[in-house]
Amino acid sequence: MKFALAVYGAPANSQAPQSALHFARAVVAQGHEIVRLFFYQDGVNTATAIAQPPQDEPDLPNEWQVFIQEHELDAVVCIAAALRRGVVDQAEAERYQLSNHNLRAGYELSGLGQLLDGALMADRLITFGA
Amino acid sequence: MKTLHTVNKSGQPMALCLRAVATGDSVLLIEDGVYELLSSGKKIEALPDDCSLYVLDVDARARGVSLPEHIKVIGYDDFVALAVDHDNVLSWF
Amino acid sequence: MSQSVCIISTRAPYSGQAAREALDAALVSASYEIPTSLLLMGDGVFQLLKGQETSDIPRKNLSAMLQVLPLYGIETIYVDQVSLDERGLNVEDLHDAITILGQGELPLFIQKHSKALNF
Repeated sequence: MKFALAVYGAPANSQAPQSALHFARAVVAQGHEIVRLFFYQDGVNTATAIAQPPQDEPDLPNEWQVFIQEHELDAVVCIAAALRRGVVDQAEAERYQLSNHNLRAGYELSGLGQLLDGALMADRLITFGA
Repeated sequence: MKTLHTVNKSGQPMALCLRAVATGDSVLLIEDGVYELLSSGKKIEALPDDCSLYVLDVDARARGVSLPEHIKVIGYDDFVALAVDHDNVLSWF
Repeated sequence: MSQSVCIISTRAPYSGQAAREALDAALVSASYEIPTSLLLMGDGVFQLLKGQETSDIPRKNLSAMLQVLPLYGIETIYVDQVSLDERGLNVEDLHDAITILGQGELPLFIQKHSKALNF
C-alpha cells in the first residue's frame, strides 16, 4: 500500500515529527511504500540543518535525515512555508540574497502542489499535526 | 467506508472528531489525546457503541496515563495496520 | 471514483499561520481543477466573521482571501452548525457564501470526497 505522510509540527513545540518518524519506520518495516513526505506549516523546521539539541536529547532532525536517505524517500518541504520560517536552500538564499542557507541534504523545497499530488497518488494520507 | 480518526489533544480535536465519526469508524488517541482517558468530562463516552477506541501505548506510558481495561492498547505497527484496514484516515489536531 | 478533496480548517485566522496555510492548500487543490470543498469547524469558523481589518497586524486579510474563492471554483464554504452555535455566531455576522451542515451531516459530507486534508 502507498502512504503519504504530512508533518505540520516543529520538533521543539510538538510531537508531530517524532510520531511521524515512528509511523514511517513501521510503514517501511511492514513492506509498504512511502510515496511522499511533505513538511508544511511549522513542520518545515524539521528540515533545518542548524538545530543542535542537547546531547541527552534525541536529535530528531538528524534521525529524520538518516531515515530519508537510507530509504531514498521523496521528502518535500513546502517552499512558501519554509521561506516564512527561515528554512532555505542555496538557490533560495541566492535568489533573496540571504546570508545563509540551512536546508538539510535529503530534502527538496517545492510547492504546496506536492502535498495534493502526494495525497492523490497515495492510498492513505496520514497527517501529523501540531 | 470506514475511517480511522487520530486525535492528538483532548480539547477541540476530540470534540471535532466526535462530530465527524460514523458507524463502524475507529478512533485512536495519540500524543496529548491520551489525556482524554483521564478527563472528567470523558468526551469519548459519546462515541457510538459500534466504534472501536484505541490508544497508542508509547504516548500513554510517556505521560503516566494508566489505561482502563476496555481500551485497546496498540503500538505503531498496529497503527499502520489500522490505517491499512480503514478506507481513510482523518487526523484531528 | 474520481478524485475530490475536502480541506478541513479548524484554526482561528490570525494566531498562527495555520488558517492561512489551510486556505492556500484549498486554493492549490482547486487550481489543479480537482473538485475542492472547504469545510470550517471549531475555531476555524472565526475566519468567516465580517469586518476583519488587519492593516495593524502583520497578516494578510483572510476575509479578503475568502472573497476570491469563487474565482477558483469554490462557490461556497461549508460550515459546521455546532461550531457556530458553541461560539454564539449568527449567520448575518458571517461571510455570505456559506452552506451550513447540521449535526449528523458531517460524516457523510466528508466521506463524499476521495481525500480529506485536516488543518
